[in-house]
Amino acid sequence: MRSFYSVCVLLFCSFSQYTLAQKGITDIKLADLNVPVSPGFVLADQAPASIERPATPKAFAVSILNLLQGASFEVTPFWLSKNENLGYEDWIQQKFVPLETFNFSVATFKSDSTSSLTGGFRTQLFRSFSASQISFLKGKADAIREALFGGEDGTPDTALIQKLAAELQAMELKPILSVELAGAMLGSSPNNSFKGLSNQRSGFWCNVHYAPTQYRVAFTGLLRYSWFTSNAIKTNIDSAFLDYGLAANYDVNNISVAAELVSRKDRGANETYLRAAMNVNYRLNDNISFVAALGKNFGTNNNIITSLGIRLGTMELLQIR
Amino acid sequence: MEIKPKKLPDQLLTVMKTKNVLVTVVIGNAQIGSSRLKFEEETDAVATGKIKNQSVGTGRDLPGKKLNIITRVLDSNPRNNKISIKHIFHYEDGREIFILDETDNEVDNNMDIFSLEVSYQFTH
Repeated sequence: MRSFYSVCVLLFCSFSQYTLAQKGITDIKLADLNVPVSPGFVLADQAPASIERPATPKAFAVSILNLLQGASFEVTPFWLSKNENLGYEDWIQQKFVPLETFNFSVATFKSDSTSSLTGGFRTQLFRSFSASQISFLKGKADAIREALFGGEDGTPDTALIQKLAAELQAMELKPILSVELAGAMLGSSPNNSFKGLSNQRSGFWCNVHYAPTQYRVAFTGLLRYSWFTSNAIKTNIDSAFLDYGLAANYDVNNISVAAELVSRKDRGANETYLRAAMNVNYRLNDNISFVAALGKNFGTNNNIITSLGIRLGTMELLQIR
Repeated sequence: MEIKPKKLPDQLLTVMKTKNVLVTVVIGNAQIGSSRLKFEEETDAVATGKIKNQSVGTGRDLPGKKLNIITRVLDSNPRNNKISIKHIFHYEDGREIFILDETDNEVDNNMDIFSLEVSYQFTH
C-alpha cells in the first residue's frame, strides 16, 4: 500500500499543468485526472513567473492589487488567521475540512495584444484517518515533544525530530478516505485591458481515495469535466470532455497487482474512448522483479496490451509483447 | 532546521494564598510543541511535555520562587509558519490569574523550531 501511495504522490507531482483540453485521445493518463496542485494555473497556456503565497491578510491585499499589473498568488484563507486554539490532535481528528483546506489560486497575464485572468480553487471536502493512523500520528507527535528537550543539556534533538516529522507528515498524506474537489476558469480579452474578459476554458475535478488500513488494497476514483466556452473554439470537436478513471491496487508479500480504467466521453464528437489494463509485479528481491501486463488501449486498431518481462533495477531487460 | 529563540522579561503574578496554582500551555495553528516548567533553584523540572492543568504549588508557597517556562514549537504544519503560544495560569476552579499571549510569532521555514523562554515570579 505504501508503494501505491508513493506512485500516487509521484504521479500527482508530475502532473503536467498545461494539458487540460489539448491532449490527444491516447495521451490521457490516470494521473492527468488528479486534482491539480494549483487549479488556477492549470488552464493558462503559460506558467506564472513567480507565485506569491501571502501569509497575512495585509500581504493578501497586496497580492490582489498586484494582479492588475500581471501577477499570481495562491492562498488558503483559513491559515491567514491565528487559529490559536487549534491543537495538533484536534486537527488530525477533524473529518470535514472544506474550509480549512479551501485554497484558491489566481493569475493574470498581460501582453500588448491580450490579457488573461485565470482562477481556481481546490478543497478537501472530507478526510478520515483510521484509529490506528490516529494512534500513530499521536505517538509521533508525543515523540517529537519529547525530542524537543531530548538533546544534550535539554536542547532539541534535531536529527530525531526531522526523522519523526518526516514519518508524521508522510502519514498525514494518506488518510483512509479522502474526497477532493477543484475547479478553474480562464478568461481572456483581445486587448491589454481586463474590461472585455470572456470565459474561455473551464474545468472541474473530483477525486476519491479509499485505502482501508486493515486490507492491503487501495481504490481511487477520478473525475474531470472540461470545456471551452469561447466562440472561436466552440466549433472544435474537442469542446467538452468528461474523463474518469478508476484504479485499484493490491499488495501482498512480494506480489503487487494494479488495475486501472480510464475513459473519455467526447461530448462534441459523441464518442467514448476506453482504456483498461492490469499489471502484475512479482518482486524476487530488491533488484529483480517479473512484470506482466494485460489490457485494452484506446482506439480500435492495435489496441491489445500484453507484455511479459523481467525488470532489473529500473531497467526492463526482457520484454515479450 | 533553525531554532528561533525569544526570551521575554520576567513576569510578576499576584496569587491568592489559599488556592492551588495551575498552568496550561496552549499551542495553536495545529503545530506540535512541548514545554518545560522548572523552578530556578531546583534541579528537576516540575513537568516536561504537553502541559495541561499542571499544578505548580499553592499561593502560600509560591512567593519568592521563580518559575521558568521554556516552550518549544516545531513548525510541522506545512500550510503556514505561524507560531501561537499561550501560557495560562489559573486556579482549580478555572479562574484565570494571568495569560501570556504570544500568538503572533512566526518562523522562517517549515520544520524550524520556535523557542520561547519566560520566567514568572509570584507575590500575594
